Amino acid sequence: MKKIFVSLVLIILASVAYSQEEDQLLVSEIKQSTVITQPATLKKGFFRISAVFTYGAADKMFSDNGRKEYLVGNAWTRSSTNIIELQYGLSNSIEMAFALPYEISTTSRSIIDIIPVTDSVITTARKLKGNGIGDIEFAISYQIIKGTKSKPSLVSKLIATFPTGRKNPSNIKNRWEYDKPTGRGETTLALQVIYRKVIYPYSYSFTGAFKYPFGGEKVLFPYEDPISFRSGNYYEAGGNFNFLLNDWIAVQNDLYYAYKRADSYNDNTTYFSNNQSAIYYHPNISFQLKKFRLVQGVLFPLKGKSISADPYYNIYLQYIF
Amino acid sequence: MTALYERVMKLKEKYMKYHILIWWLLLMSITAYAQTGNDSILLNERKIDRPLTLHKGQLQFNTAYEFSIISQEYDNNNKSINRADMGTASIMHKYSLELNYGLLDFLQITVDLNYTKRGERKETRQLYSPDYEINYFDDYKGFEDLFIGTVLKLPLKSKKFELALSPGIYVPLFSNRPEAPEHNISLIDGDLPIIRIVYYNNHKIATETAAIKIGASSIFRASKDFSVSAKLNYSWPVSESESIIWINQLNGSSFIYYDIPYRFLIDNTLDYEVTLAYQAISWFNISLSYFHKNKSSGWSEITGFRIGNPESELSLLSIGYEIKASRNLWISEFIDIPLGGRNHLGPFSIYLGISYNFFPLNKN
Repeated sequence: MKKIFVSLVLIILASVAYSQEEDQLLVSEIKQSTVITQPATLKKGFFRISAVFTYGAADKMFSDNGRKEYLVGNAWTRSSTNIIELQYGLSNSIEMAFALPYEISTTSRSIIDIIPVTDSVITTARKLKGNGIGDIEFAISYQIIKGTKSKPSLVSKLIATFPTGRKNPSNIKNRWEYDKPTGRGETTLALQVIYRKVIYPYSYSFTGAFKYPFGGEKVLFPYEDPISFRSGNYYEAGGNFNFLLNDWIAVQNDLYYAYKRADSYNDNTTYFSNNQSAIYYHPNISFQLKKFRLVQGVLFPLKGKSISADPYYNIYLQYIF
Repeated sequence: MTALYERVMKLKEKYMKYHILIWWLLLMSITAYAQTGNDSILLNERKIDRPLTLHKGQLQFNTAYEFSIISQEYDNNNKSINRADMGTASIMHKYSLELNYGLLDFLQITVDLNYTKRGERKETRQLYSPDYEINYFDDYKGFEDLFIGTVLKLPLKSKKFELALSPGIYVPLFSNRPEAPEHNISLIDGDLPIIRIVYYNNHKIATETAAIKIGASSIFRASKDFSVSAKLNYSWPVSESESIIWINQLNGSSFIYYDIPYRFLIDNTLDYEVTLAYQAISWFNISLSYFHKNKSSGWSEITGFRIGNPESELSLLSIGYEIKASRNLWISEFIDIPLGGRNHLGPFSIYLGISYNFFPLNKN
């Protein structure tokens, strides 16, 4: 009996000692961690593949004075960005990423031309398509402060976008029938900093980002000459609050403010573009099924100026190797 | 340490005969608690096992967001018209809040309220010499009529088959009177300046009409993991209703609006839905549904004459799933695909719903 008593004491002590040890998870357990419990960057040798689908339609916009208004006219645009993203953990603190987008966009418009002089009415339906590879993206993330279960993490992320997408109108039949561009036509460099803290089953983060576009030359409309342009600088600040509903379902709430300066065309910023700003709320729900993850959400623009006011539906499918 | 050990051993000898009894009682009490606690009902009950009515004392909050792309329309000959090609497609956002409470194990009360928003464009008209661009826009938004109903489950002894009746009423809580139009005229500068006229009309969603609904629902559990369920509803208005239509008069470059009352009768609506559901895992249920609705017998005097509404119908195929995130929280998602119809819009919809369930008045 004495031996049993001593054995019990030893077992309890051992379990207490084990529970005080942090980050003693198996590799398979780390790979199955949720968006809340996952490391700030991928662990060394881990590889994640993601398919990201977004869908939205141009219906409303925030005017210059911040009013949410329906777009004037009957042009109706549906757009979808579909991205294949590859992420790889170079070390426990450094992660590389590559994203290949495929853009699908259709703008339809129908106009009834009434010409009293000739007493004629002509109905014209026009459709512009913009399908093709978009601008590819490379990113590198580095954990400046390495996060643990009790300590927050601080990650800096450098993102470079290259103009691989079609930047000019192509396949031009006339001024109203052509294939729309699928890329911006310029290289950009962005820096993002993310502070994240996990207090199981919750996590929160703060983020700040700045994007600098380098500009280029492109044709804006069919039959016109290329003009020099540069997109406005982009700034973003926000945060999120996330919580687990159970061991494998997490709810994420992103709230952020974005500001973009007006684009300039031939060094003129008032041409076709205004300063844009918006506050976005992006709730999404994430299902972690072993190494497979499904994330679904809707991006809602809450307030803004000179920017689209339409929500975007998005879905992510991820698998980690 | 030795003294403590000896004292434990003495106690052990004295109460040894009670050990099994104490452990047995403890286990029994835990088991009994687990079996009677209402939360355990929710914990153990899979979607396919849920009765047609809530359990007694169960309160259920259902919230949902539905995003519909209306790029299709069916004409009077059941022919599909692609509104997207004409640029007249629209998007509908619908927010739902439903409250259900189990008064008894076979009687449930339901309160349902929806808010909808949709902006619909018409084809742009261009009039030449002088140059005018004329745009028409209809803004539909507001609450739907509030629905209050009950679900009464019939006392059938079979667990394989259940049948329930679901009568209810639509309460005219919200006004159907649209706000005044917001037409405007503006000069668009450019190489070829044009005058842009926007006819912006507002519409409400509520009919402000009391209506009665009778319905029935049933479920047949063909096997442990597979079920077939069906719903049938019929609703009709209690009386005629009144609303207003706005007319406008151009005075210089500004509009003056007048409202004219008119009477109308909302349609009788018949709808039914058949659902095949498969409980793939205890927490995951997938389903495939066919939904059909038919509207008829309504009329309106909006033109000054009483004109019957065209009979309309719509068929939808719905594919979806429900995930039981916890005993209290269920998450569902459905995609509705229009199959056919007549005199009706054909929305393609994505529905995201959250259901929260608990027993507020019971301690267990």
